[in-house]
Amino acid sequence: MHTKGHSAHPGESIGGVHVMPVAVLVGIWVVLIILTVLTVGVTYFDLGPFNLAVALGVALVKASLVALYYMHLKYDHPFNGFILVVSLVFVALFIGITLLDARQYQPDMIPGYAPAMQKK
Amino acid sequence: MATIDHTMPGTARPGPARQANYLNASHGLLSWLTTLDHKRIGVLYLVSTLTAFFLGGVFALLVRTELLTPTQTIMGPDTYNKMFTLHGAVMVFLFIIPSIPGAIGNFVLPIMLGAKDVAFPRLNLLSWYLYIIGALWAVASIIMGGVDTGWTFYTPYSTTTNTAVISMTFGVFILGFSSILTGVNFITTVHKLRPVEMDWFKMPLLLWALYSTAVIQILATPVLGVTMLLLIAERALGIGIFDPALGGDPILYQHFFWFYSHPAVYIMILPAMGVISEIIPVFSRKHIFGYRFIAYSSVAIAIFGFLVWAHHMFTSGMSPMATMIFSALTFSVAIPSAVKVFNWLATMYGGSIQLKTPMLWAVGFIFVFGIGGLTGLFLGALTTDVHLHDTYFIVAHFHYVMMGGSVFALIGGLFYWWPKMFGRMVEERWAQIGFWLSFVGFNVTFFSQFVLGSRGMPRRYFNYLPEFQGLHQLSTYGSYVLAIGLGLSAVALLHSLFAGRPAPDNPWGAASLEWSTSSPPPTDNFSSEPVAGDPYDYNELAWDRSVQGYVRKG
Amino acid sequence: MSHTADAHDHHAHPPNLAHHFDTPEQQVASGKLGMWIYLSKELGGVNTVVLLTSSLTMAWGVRAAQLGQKKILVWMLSLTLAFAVMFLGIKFVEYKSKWEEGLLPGKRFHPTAPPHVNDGKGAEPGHHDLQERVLPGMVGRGAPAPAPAAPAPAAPVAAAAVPAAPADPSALPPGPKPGDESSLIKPAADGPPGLAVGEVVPLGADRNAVPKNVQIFFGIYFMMTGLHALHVLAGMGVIAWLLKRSLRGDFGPSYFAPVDLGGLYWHLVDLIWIFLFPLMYLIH
Repeated sequence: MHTKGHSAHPGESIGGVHVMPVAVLVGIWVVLIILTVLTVGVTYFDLGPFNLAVALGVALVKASLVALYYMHLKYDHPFNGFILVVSLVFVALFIGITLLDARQYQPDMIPGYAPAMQKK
Repeated sequence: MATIDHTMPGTARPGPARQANYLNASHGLLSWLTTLDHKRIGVLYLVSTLTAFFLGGVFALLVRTELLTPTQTIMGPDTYNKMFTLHGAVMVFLFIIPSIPGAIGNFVLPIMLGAKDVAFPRLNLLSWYLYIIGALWAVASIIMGGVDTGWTFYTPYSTTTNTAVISMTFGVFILGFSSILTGVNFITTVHKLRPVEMDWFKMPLLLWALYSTAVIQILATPVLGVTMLLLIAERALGIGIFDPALGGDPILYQHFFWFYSHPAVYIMILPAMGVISEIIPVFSRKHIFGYRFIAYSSVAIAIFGFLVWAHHMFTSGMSPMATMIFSALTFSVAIPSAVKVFNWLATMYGGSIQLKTPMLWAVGFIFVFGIGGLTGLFLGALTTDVHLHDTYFIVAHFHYVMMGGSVFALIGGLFYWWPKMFGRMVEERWAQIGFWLSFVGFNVTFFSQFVLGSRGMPRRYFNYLPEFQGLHQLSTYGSYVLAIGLGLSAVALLHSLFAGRPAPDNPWGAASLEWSTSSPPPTDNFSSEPVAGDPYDYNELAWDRSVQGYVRKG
Repeated sequence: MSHTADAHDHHAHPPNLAHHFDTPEQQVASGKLGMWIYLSKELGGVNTVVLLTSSLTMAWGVRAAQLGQKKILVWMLSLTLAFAVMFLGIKFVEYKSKWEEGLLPGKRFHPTAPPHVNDGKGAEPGHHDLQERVLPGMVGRGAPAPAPAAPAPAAPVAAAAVPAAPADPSALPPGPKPGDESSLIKPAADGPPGLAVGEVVPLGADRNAVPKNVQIFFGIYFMMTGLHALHVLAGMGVIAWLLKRSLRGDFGPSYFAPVDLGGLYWHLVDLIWIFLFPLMYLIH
């Protein structure tokens, strides 16, 4: 399951398995909390089209921190990280293309032209 | 499941003294239902998916019989709607998707790798139980009056019809988890249990195919799960995501559904192509041609398969720009598919072809898959698809690919690995007659549907114009011939369990690892550590009369 | 977002009707909605902190298991479980408030008018602008009959399809008239006959009632957060099982894979929340 931990990181290592130091764990947590406060704080300013970009950008940073340190991907076999990235790419592909298409066709839809929610 | 006991030839007949194998290692129904042995789980999958095939086949015959006359023949229109829905749902979700990975993949994959089992044997058993639970939900919906939406469950009809949609879709949801677990198992097994001397390009091509399939299973199936959950929530709670009356978007449902269900087509066909890649070189007595091309084309199909889903929706009201993009992308899938077909043909070219039953099905596969694939190009082209959409042309096309493709390969693979699975040889004569009847029956059934569709016969219709009757009758009679052919093949297989001659370790002269162990294999697969070489090098093998099989020279 | 924030400001000056609202009731309702969106942001933020902290304790637990520190492991798993319970508790408060406001998905979407006019049996005439957007025949609990003055045509008894374009265009409520469609392709005049059951709300009839797409938003909101909550529940089951095994002393430097794998699952639940939070609570 685990490959040899890289020694570049000043962490303890037991039987070739990387152990996260407490300082790093807590440090990451502090950064995550600061970023959360930042995300909420930024909503009090209307950045127009950048609202979404800023919010998702900060989320991406937070997610990367969790994945790299809490989920050990930084010290793990690169293939495991590759799997995570590939699955995220596929989610983005699906949501992205579907929403792009929906934006195009939705103006043509006629509201209400469908059977109402009535059971026979 | 009561049939399992009968599929234990090691105990069924006191034949020649047999060494301990996975079939006679333990006895009783319970030992099968609690087994962690990938081979037994494969057999469990085989029995259950073939049962679903039988059930779906009965529905198909009823549908075809109803279509003998332009008006009502044997059932009313509502029953007819349920029949074709159940035929589609059972065949797709209960049979084709789980059959090759679940039955053949589970049995063969670890042995081909020289491994003792898959990476997660308990997850493997869990996946079979999830399959059974999902199947029971689907059966429950049949008991509760059936479903009449078509197997695609399109909204808003599926959210408003008063048939048992929820239990069927919940069954499909659970079946998805079964499929994901199989995929997780195969990927981990190929990565972690592959012997050091077998690098990626020394793997049998079936493993490339199963690996690519597993990638699709893992990436796409969760979308199906979410889609089914949303559909259930839509019906039960009226959340209004897909129902236009609530501000929802029915085309969105089609996007969700096909994002899974188009790649699912490759879940069905990729393992089939892998099976064919194993059979063709063995019975041509020649090294596979273009190994790397076939291997990479499996990966390419898996990737391209994700980029073409909206070609099912050209007439649904999606945006014109998207239809053009998806039409263009659809053609990209034709390239790796053709790469495979040409490499198989090149493998056969100049070989000394032995037309044993597995090879017959494999060659039959190339023939019908060729027709199915080429007619797919007409449907991928935007202009012709607008005319052919929702006609019998498309019904014929996907039956040529799914039935002619996946099922032909499954049956071919079954005849190929049957001696390894159960240690008995199948009587060639009856099996070959079974193939020819199936082949002729299949083409009569579905080629006439190409003609029907191009003349404008819409699919799923209960009544039709009298001028279509001749072709409809031809198609129905063809389906009867097909049923007889498949029945004969089943009889040949079952007969071998009781009266077949004991199989040698390597009856066909194949070089992949599963043929280097005994037939049937012991519980741990190998009595001594196998050494993996080139899986398509047959030069080291020679026919040995004394064992009626192939042995290594020297 | 700015839309609802404005409404909130104006709420402080009752006599004034902001220029972009048609009726005072609409303004009040929009204000309420804005307040709830604001509150849910707070709750969502608190819940994010809770879940992030549970990820810290979980990661710490993995470390403890690797080092064989049984006591710390038990503590960390217990804390993780406690934070998970807290997360679901806050989630419950959030759901409950939305339930009371009628901000439920789909056919149950039924935003109530301000409490002083709503006794739970339906709103008085004059507040119909919020209700009429819910089509008769698919309204959930406490559906009021359309008020006589409702601009949407016909009573529910008119089961036959209502033509999309009423004969007199002046009878249409404010909003785009037929022919105003943003697409160049005109929709088929009447739609497929016989498909529409009950009333058809003319195009854009309710465009000003509640911010657009709110109904579909709450459908998505409940599905996404609900699915996430199910994953939290599953994760709690896993952690409880790990806790039981760690109390028994199963884990140590040579065997900690279950803690490691359970931790990965828990972090993934956190990971998804990190994206859900801005999408569901911050962006409107």
